[in-house]
Amino acid sequence: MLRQARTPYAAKMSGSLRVAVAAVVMTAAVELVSTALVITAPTDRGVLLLGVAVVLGTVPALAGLRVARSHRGGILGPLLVLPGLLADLILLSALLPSDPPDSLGGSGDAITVALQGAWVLVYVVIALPLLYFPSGRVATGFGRWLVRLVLADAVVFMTVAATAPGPFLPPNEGTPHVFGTMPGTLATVLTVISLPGLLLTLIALTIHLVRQYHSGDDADRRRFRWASLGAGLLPATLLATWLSYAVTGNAIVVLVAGLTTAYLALPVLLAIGALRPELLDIDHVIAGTAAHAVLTAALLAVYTAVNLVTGQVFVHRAPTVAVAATALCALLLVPARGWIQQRIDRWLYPARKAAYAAIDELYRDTVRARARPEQLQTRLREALREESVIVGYRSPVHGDLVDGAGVTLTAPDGWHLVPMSLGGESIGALVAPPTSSEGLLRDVAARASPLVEMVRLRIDLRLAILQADESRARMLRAGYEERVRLERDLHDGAQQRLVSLGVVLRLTQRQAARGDVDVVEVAGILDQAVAELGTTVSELRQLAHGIRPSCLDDGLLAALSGLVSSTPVPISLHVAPIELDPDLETTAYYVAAEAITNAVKHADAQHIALDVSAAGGELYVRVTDDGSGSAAVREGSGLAGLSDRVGAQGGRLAVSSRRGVGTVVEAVMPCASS
Amino acid sequence: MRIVIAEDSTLLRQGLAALLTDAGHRIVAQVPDAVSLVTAVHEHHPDLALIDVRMPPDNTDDGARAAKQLRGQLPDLAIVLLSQHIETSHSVDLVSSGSFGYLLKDRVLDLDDFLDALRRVAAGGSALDPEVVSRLIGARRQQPSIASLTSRERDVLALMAEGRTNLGIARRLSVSARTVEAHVANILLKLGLDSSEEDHRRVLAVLKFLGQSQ
Repeated sequence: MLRQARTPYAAKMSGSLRVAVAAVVMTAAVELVSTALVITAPTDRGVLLLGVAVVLGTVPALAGLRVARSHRGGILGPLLVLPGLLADLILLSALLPSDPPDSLGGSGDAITVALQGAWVLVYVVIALPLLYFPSGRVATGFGRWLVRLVLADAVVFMTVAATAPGPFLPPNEGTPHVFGTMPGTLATVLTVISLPGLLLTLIALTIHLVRQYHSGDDADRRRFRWASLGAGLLPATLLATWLSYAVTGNAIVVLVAGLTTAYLALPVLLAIGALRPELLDIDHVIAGTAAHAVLTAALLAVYTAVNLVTGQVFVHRAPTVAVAATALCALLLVPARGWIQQRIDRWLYPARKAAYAAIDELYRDTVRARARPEQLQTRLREALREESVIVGYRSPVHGDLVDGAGVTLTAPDGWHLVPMSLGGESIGALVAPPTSSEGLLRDVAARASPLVEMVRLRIDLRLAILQADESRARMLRAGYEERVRLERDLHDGAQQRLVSLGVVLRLTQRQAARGDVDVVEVAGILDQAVAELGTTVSELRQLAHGIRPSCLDDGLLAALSGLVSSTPVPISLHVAPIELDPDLETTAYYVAAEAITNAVKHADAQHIALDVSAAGGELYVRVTDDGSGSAAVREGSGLAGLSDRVGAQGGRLAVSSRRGVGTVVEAVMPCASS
Repeated sequence: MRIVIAEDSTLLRQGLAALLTDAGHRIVAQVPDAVSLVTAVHEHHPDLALIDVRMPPDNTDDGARAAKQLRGQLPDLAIVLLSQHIETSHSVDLVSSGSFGYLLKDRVLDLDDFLDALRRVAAGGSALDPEVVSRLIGARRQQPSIASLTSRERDVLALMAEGRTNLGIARRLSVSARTVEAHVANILLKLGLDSSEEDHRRVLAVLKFLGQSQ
């Protein structure tokens, strides 16, 4: 406390907490006194009242303390404690002996008289939290006037009740007017003003809440919906009481239960609205509550009507009638339940809201790894109550619209196809039957697009992994095929030549030994043999070059310069001075060599540009030609092999080819140096 | 002897032809692929066909396949396969049937040995490349029967497996024929093979033994 008091903010907050604590202490004190009274003179009624007092006092006290402790809500915390304190006070007065003990002397009468109009405080302790909801401040001038009116009205009412001429209401008919009496006319005028005034302030309070609701943003509205659920319980209780009275002739149980519920629920619901409005989907709760209220009312109405009609005719068969009435209610209401829920939902919990809530919930669940974004379609079908809605995703690969299973999607004739986009890029679409509202679909599509993008990214990722796997398999296969080719080249080429050469030399040896050939002939044969050896050596050099271009020993620039000089087409070469890993150098060399070979062999290019540069930790190898522009990365082509090679370096190969303009082959690979 | 040469490399084919002609043989036909080999053999009925394993049309083992086909059609035809590389299981099967040789191309350069191998095969014997033999024996070195041989006996076994006669082995090792006979008897005893069989059948038994469990 001391430390908090050092900052003005904390001091202010701890002030409201202190007030709340004081109110709670008072409530506890009242409960203690009540307990003492019940212990000294135990009666069944006393124990029951004490139990009710403890419940009615404790729940608002906890709600109020929670709000006050949160450093939010300001005065709202203490105000939420008040209904409990008041309830306990009222119940305490009921426990007190009807004629005050002598020890109180005249002050016992004074308390009795002062509390004559105290029931009006019940409205005050409900009106004030609603006015100070949710921030602890009254937002508008209208609201501040209302606070004054409520308080003034209560004071006037209690004053009139305490000082009006004539006897007090039973059981206090005999209590003397200890505060004197006011003129009868004034009392009449004030009563005429204050009673309707009370009603008017309640209406004004409703207007105030509705206006607050409409001027607020989404979060505010959510808070006020919690408040409206709390406030709505009072009129609901009155309605239920009236119906109960109409049906059973006895309303006291419903009234007490309803009022107790309302009294307990209001502080709790206001506390939730102020602190945790996102706790539950409040719209759903309200719609559900309303549907149940309507159903209950309908049930009672049907029951009443049946009783009225049949009771007249079959007076002597009351049990049979009751059973028949119950059966009829069940018959009528079971099918009606869905219909009623739907109507009420449409009014109180429209599809848009339901869909938004479903999308937001799925998003939260996805973030917490409790759901997958692919469940969007299921959730939307539930929320929109439309079983044939389909969420389509624009495939990152071929650009077609596909469903969650990857099957290409087309909208049936007349169906809606509402596109979804994110950052200007088309990412998917909602497909729905003609009966759906297109405006609603558009709103839902906009709200759902981040989830759809998430799904698309996941599809993308899956495909990338698949492609990486395929690429790895291709690399392995290509490696194997390369070794087979190499083996064949060695056996059929160099080895064959060397064996042939050996045969020729052997033959010559034999013939020379026998004297069948002369020196000139031998010299000629040896000359041919040496030429053959030279050919074999150069063949071996080419083979070794295929394994790893040995020209790379002197660096990429030297190797590329050699490549350029051995190419019959003019090439403008630009290589930035970069230090690279040998394998990256080799890949870069192959990209250049393959692209240049293609440009010369297949595209008939007249000029080629070769650029090697590095930026942002990436190496760029770009080969541009002015050839026929018909290159493409096809299965099994040299470019596909190149693409795999580049992919193995963690890079990507882009080939853009335009007929008659030329081809650009660009490899981008991560490199450590810059 | 009358010989058909099947070899796709012109250079080597002509070299071989010149070499064999020089050695006193008659080359009745030179062909560059397996199909014309079969035709030429049926046309000329040579004593021996010298066949490259890898040849057109498929450039895989066309020569070996043609050899098997010819063996089926002409059981008396002596066949020597020339290969670029060692391939044990097939070669042992073929050679074990007699009148068959399997040699690496390099052997051509060791002219006397090569001509000797051709002669052996033409006479109904066998010729298996020493490289193949050393692989076979190497692969079975851990076996008790092979491990129990002395190093001299192992040399003799290798030469036996190549298809050489006792006399050939004796010349090669510069020892007397009787010494070789003693070694051979020991080897057959240790390997559990029948020693009563005649010369080349005994070789085939050795080859079968070595070729097993390959």
